[in-house]
Amino acid sequence: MKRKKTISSLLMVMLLVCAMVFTSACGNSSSEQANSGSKEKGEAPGEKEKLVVANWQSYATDAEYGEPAFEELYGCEVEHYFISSIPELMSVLENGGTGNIDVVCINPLYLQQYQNAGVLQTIDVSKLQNYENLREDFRTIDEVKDADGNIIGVPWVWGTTSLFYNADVIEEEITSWSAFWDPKYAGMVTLENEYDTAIRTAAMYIGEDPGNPDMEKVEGALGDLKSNIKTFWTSHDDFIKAFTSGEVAIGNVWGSIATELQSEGMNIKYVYPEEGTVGWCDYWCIVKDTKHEDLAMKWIDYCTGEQFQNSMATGEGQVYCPVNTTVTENLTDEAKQSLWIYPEAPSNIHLAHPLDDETLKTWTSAWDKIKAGS
Amino acid sequence: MSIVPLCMLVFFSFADGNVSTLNGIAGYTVNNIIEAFTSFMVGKLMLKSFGIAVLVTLLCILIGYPAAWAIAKIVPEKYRSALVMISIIPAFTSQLLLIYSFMTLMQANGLLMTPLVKLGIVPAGTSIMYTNSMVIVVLVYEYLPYMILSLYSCLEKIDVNVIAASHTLGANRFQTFIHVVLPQSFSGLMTGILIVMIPAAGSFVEPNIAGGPYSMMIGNLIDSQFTTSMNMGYGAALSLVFLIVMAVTLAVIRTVMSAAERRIGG
Amino acid sequence: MRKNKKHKNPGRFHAVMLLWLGITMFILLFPILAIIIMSFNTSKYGTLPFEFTLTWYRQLFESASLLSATAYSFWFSLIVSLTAAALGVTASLALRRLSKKWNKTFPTLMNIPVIIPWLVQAVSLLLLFNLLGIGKSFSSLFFGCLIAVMPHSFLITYSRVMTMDRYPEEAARTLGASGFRIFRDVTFPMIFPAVLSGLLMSFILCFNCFSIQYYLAPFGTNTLPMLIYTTIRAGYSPDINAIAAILTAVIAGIIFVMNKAGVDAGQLFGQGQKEGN
Repeated sequence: MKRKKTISSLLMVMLLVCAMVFTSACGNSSSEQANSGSKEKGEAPGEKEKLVVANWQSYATDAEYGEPAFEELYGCEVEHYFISSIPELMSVLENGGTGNIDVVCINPLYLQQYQNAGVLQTIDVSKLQNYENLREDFRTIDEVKDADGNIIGVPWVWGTTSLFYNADVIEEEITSWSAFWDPKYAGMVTLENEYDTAIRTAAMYIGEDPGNPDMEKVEGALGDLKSNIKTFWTSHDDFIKAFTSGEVAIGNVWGSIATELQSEGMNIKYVYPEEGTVGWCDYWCIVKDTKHEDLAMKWIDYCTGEQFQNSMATGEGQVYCPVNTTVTENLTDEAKQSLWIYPEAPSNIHLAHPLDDETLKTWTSAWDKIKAGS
Repeated sequence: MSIVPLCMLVFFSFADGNVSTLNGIAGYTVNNIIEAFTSFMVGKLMLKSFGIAVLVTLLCILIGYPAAWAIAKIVPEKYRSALVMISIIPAFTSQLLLIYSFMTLMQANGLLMTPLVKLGIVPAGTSIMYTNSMVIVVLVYEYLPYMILSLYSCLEKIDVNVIAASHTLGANRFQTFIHVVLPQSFSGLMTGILIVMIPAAGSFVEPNIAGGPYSMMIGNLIDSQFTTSMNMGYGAALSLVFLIVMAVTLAVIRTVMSAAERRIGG
Repeated sequence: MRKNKKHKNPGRFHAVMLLWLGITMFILLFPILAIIIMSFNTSKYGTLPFEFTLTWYRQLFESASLLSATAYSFWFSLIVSLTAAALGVTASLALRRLSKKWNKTFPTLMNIPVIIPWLVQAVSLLLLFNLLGIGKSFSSLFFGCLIAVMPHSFLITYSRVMTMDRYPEEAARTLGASGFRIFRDVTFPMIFPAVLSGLLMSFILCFNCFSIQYYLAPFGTNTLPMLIYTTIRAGYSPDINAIAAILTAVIAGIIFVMNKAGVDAGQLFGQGQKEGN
C-alpha cells in the first residue's frame, strides 16, 4: 500500500516539475512566435530585415567575421539554416523551403539537379562589386549558367581533398595515390565516405580521366582497395577521432582539416600526388521567390569581399582558400603554406563539376555496390 | 494516424525519382519495387542487417534481464524509480556524442583495452574499432536502456510471494525462473524485442561511424537514396521491403514465443 | 503489509545480481562520465593528459545557441511525451473493453510506424504537411514526433494493462467508487510503472529523433540534435560536451529531488489517507 502512495506522489512531483518547465518554456516560445510573426509581416517600419542563409555549420559564415559582422554592417538579422546534406537541402527547398530560405551554399555536384527542380534564380552579377575580382576559371564554367547564359552561382571558397599521412607512423615520403593500394598499409587507410571523391581518386590512380572514367575499371580498383581500408570517414569529427586514436595513418582528407591538425601539433603531412588531386569549390546561389533579394546580394558580395575572404583564409583552426584574387595575391607565405598553396596551387587539380542525372545515378549506385561488396 | 506513414510509403514507392510539392512527381514506375525485391545486394544486406539485429536483441536480453530483475526485485523499493531513470540519463545527450564517447573507451589504447592487454588476455594493439563486432557492441550499448525499461515495467509487477511459494514447494531457482518468472515477463520481453530489434535492423549511423569497410547495413542503403542519390522512390521501395521482412520476422518471433509460453506456462 | 521473505535472506544470488546491475550501470553511465570529464579538459579532441579548463563553459554561455536549443528540445519532448503517454493510457484502457479481434489488430496497426525508418517517415510527413498547407511548422513538428514516439509509449502501457489484475478495480466498483475515482486510486497506480517507462521512453526518443526534427522543425528553430548533427560535419567544438554535462547534472538533480520528495510526500499522503479511512 505504501508503494502506491509513493508512486502517486512521485507523479505529482513530476507534474510540478513539468509545469515549471512549461511556464519557463512558454516565455521562450512566445518570444519566438513574436519573431516569426514579424517575418510574416515583412519589413514593418522599425523591424530588422531577416535573411535566412543555408550553409554547413562551423563553415566560416557563422564565425565572428561572418554573421555578426554582416548584421552590424547592414542593420539586419541573419539566421542560419544548417545543412545536413545537399540532397536533403533540396528536399527542404522543394517542399516549402522556397520563399523561406534566401541564400544557399552548395557544392556544384548537384547544381544541375537544383536547376532542374527550379529552386534557384538567376543572379545579376553586375550588381556585385567583387564579382570581377573572383577567380575567372571558377566563375565562368558553363555549369553555373542556366540555358540562357545567366549566372546562377557565385564561387565562394575552394579547396582540395588530397592525400594525408601520419609521419609518425609512415616514415617514407609518399608521392602517389598508389600508396593506398600498397599491401604495406593494409588496415591503415581511410577514405572520405563520398562517392565523388573516391571515384575521381581511383580514376587518377589507374590513369583514367577523373571527369569521365571507365566505371568498370574504377569499381575494380576501389574493390581492391577495400581490403586495405580501415574505415570510411563521414564527417570532420569522425576523421579527427580516427586519426587521433591512431587507427588510421593514411588516406584522403580536406586540406582544412590537415591544417587544423597540424596547428594542434600533430605530425600530419598533406601532399598533392603526382597523378593529380581532387578539388572542390562551393558556390552561393539565390533561392527562387526570395523576399530579400537585395539583402541576399549584399550577403554574397560581403562573403566574396576582401575583408571576409581574408579572415577566412587566415583565421584560427580551419582555413579555406579564397576565390578573391586580390586576397590571394596579398597572402603571406605563411598563410599560403597553411592553405597548401605555397608557392602556388598545384596545376593538376581536378575540380568536382556538376553531374547529370544519369551519371549521378551510375556513380552513386556504383559506390553503394562497392561498399556493400565483401 | 498510425497508418498515414504507411500509406505515404506505398505511394512513394511508385514514384520515379524525387517527390516534391513544388514540381509534383516526375512519373510513376514499378521498377523501384521490382529492383528492391530482386536485387542480390539488397537481399544480402537485408540478411546481414537482420542477423545483426537478432544478435543485438539477444545480447540486450542477456545483459538486461538480470539488471532489470535486480532493479525490480532486489534493490530497496524507494530507489527503484530513481535507478530506472538514472539508467536513461545518457539518453538526454545526443546519441552521437555518446557513441563517440563510448568508442574512446573501446579504442586500442583506451580504458577497456589497456587492462586487457596488461592482463595478457588479448595481444597488444588489438582493437575492435571499425569492425562489425564494434557495430554490434555500440548497438547493444545504445539499446540496452530501452530493454531494461520495458523488462522492468513487467518484472516489477510479479508478486514475490508467488516466487516464495514456488521455492517452498521445492522448485529450484532455475525451475522457478522458467515456470514462474519467465511466463509473466513475456509481454515485456516482446515489447523490448520490438523496441530494440526494429531500430537496430534499420540503423545507419552506427555502421557509418563505428563500422569499417565491410559494415554497410540496409539502413545505409536506404539513407543514401535520400542523402546522396536523390532517388526517394527507390529509398521508399527499399523501406517497404524492409517493412515486409521485419513483419515476417516479428511474426515468427511472436509464434515462437507464444508456443514457448503455452509449453512452459501450461 | 506485504511480506518480503527475500530481504530477510539475501543470499549469494542477490549479491551476484546486484554486482551485475552495478557493472551494467557503470558501462551505461561511463560514456557520459567521460563526456563530463572531457568538458573540463583543455584538449579540443579529448586527448590526455588532462588539464583543467572552464573555456568550453564560457564559450557555451557566450554563444547561447546551444543553450536555447537545449531548452527547446527539453520542453518540446516533454509536451510530446506527455501527450503520447495520455493517449497511450486512454487507448490501452479503451482497447481492454473491445473485442478480442480488435485487440489483435489494433496493436499491430500501432506497430507500423515503428518499423518505418525515421528518415522515410520524416520526408513523407513533410510532403503530407505541405499538401495540408502547414508545411514546416510547430504543429507539423509536434505531430511528426508524436507519430514517431506514440507507438513506443502505447506498447509498454498496453502490455501492462492487458496483463494487470482486474479484481481491485471490480472491488472498487462494487464498493461504489466512481469511474474517475477508480482510475485515480486503483487503475492508474497499478499501471503507473509502465506509464512512467513509456513516458521516459517516448521522451528520450523524441529528444533524439534528429531526422524528423530536421525535416519538420519550423525555419529558425534549432533543436539540440539538429545543432549537434550539423556541427560534427564540418567542425566540432567541446562546448557540446559542456552542455551534455550540464544537462546530466540537471537531470540527476531532478531525479534526486524527486526521490527525496517522493518518499516524504508518500508518508504525508499515507497519513492523510489513514485519517480518511
